[in-house]
Amino acid sequence: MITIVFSLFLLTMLVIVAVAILRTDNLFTAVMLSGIFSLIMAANFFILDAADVALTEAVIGAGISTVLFLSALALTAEYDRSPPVGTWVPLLTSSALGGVIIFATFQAPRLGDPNAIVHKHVAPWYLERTPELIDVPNVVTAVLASFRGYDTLGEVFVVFIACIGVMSLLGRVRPRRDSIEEGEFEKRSDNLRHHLIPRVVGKMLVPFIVLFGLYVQFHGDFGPGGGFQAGALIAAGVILYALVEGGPRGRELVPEWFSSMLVALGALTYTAVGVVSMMRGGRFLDYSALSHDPIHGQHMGILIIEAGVGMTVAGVMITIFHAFSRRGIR
Amino acid sequence: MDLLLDIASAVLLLTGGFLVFVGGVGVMRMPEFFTRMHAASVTDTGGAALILAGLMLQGGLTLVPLKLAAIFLFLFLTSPTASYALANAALLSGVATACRNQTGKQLPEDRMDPPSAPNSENSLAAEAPAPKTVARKSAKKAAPKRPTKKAAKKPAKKSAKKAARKKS
Repeated sequence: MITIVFSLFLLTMLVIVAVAILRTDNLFTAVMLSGIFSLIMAANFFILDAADVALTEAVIGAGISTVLFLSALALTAEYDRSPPVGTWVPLLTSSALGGVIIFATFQAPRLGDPNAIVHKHVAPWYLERTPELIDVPNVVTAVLASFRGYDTLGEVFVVFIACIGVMSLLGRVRPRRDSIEEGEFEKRSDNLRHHLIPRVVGKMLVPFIVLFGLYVQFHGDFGPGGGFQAGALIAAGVILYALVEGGPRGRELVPEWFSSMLVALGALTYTAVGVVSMMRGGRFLDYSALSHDPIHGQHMGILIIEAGVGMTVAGVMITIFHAFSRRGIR
Repeated sequence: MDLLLDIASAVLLLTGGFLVFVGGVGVMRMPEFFTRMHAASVTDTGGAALILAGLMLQGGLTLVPLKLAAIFLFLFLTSPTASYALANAALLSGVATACRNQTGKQLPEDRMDPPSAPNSENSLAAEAPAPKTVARKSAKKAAPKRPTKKAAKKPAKKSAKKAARKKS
């Protein structure tokens, strides 16, 4: 009962925030509202007992994407210039689509219905066989890393390719230093160095954020967490440092060559685990072949590929942030 | 003993909830930016602390109160910092306060002055004899005006940046 009340409240807030995002023409407001949207969504996921997804949404949606949007806005204008489009066509299109979606929800199973199709297909098999085959307490990790290892490999490569896409758009151009003298450039860059309080508190928080990221990384077998969340958390720590100390200092902490190498290294690690398991007589990404004891092999495989996922995700976030901050503020 | 704990935690939770509510009302009702922030800080500090304390009492002798204490420590550090950053950004970008508003425009450089500056004393003195109702009306007038002032804000921002540069 209380869950339903909470869900209704959060979903109502979600609709209000979504409408507010559409109606504002100040892009900074829209970015902050989309951060709030993600936070509400994370709370919603948590109510649905999807702690792993909630953690990811909170870190990436509310945290890092807000920072990336703000960095992007530093390069563009503050206000949205809406293109002159007639209001009827979009209105009709979106109401038709909304009607289709509402119609589809009548077919959807009720929340928590044990007879729903998703609970009848492979989920019972995963729940039943995880203790026997993989023996990790968190079934989500077992499904994500082992049973559905191919899908996760695909996701890692999606992130990898997305990073390549962003980098080819933003490029690695050096800012025109010749037109601006050195000291002036430093002042125009995006740092908070003259704000003492955020600087001190921000620097104080960085190690704890990174520590928590490592905890989430290596605790993923036992509780909510894993490579995606951990990578984003560690990247958040680095980005916080770069925000309070300025982009150049951030690039000294984690150089660009290192973060972009991390991206490739993570994807490579993941693939290499698959190749090694093939060389040891199993199939691609069949971790049981990694060790003499199949369950031990599974544990090892999950640990290594989660590390690979974490490296790629952290590398991508840091690389994209560096690419934005290098461009400086107009 | 359990009953006592429950009562104590209920009192803490309800007081915390009340403070959060008061903060929310204050954010809606206060006349201008800085007083609104002041209202929001009631939520940040009093509300959050009391609710966390109430939840800690419910947690019993487990790891839960420790985790809540960690959250409290985190909030204790971050929310004043966030408030400071917000207020500082508002000050530098020249968000007008209610009392300064009536004395005409002032440059952000003036706002950086300590409160004992003769400038601000004058403005307060000029304000004092004005009847209360007038002050309230003008404060209300100022509130909806703010979004339309965007054009006026921009040059203020630039000069604020200049001031910051001079300082650093």
